[in-house]
Amino acid sequence: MKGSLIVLTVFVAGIVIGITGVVPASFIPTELTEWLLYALVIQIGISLGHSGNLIKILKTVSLRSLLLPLGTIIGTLLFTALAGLCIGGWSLTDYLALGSGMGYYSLSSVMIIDIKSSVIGVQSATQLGMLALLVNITREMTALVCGPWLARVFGRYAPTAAAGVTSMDVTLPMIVRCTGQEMFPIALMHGMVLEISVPLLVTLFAGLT
Amino acid sequence: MFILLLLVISVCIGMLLQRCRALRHLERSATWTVWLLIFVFGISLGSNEKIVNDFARFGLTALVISLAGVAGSVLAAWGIGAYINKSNQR
Repeated sequence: MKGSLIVLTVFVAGIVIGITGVVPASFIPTELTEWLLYALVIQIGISLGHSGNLIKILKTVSLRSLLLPLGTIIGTLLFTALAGLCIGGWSLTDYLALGSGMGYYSLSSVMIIDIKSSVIGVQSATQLGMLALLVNITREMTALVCGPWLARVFGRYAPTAAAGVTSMDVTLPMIVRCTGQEMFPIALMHGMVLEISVPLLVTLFAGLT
Repeated sequence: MFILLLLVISVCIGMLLQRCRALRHLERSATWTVWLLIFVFGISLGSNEKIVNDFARFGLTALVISLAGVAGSVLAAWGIGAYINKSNQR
């Protein structure tokens, strides 16, 4: 829990600093996030190789672990559709397109704006795209913050499922920390399968009117 | 896919340097990197006026939709975990 609180505090502090403009956005190179992500991957990779558990870990991966990404897709789409029906405003397929982002906010929002512009107009498409950005950023943050709790209540696969695509990068350290190193390859495979599914699903649902 | 390549290379380096005890500290530094990543992410969101304004307008809808997605996937993962446990016991 302490870790989650630190993450949340740091995130809110970042937003506040961004809003107040204490640190101008131009001060931060746009590639910084990317570099940090690479630095993170290198650190995770080296410590995984260094621990010597890798072969032991790989032996536990089975075809059954493909069940998890499939479950994430079905569960996400089903519940997103239900929530969308309750909220209204947008069409059911629009809500399904929002859910199809699976936490991949950059790609899904751009794709939704691109596909929807010719169908519902640029203004509405941009709004839906921004909503997609917010939905998927919130998903990533929820997974990061609630991951440890989800693991305790719903078992060790829950943080990975909640993380969606981000189980292969941003939320991977949290997943490994709260569910153990043997979840590393499962979370990675989960993220990879979803990464492929996101553009397909977004194209499908955004294309349906 | 670049990330995956980077990961594979890093894992190989880690395996080659198995005797280097200093590398144990990398787990700690990885945690710090996550915090830094989140911090920078927050700044870039906060400094984007369009995103801040839309957050006020769409924040609630976005929250409900994303929580619904999380709930659905977590329930699926819960069921899958129970199924795997059961078939492991057999």
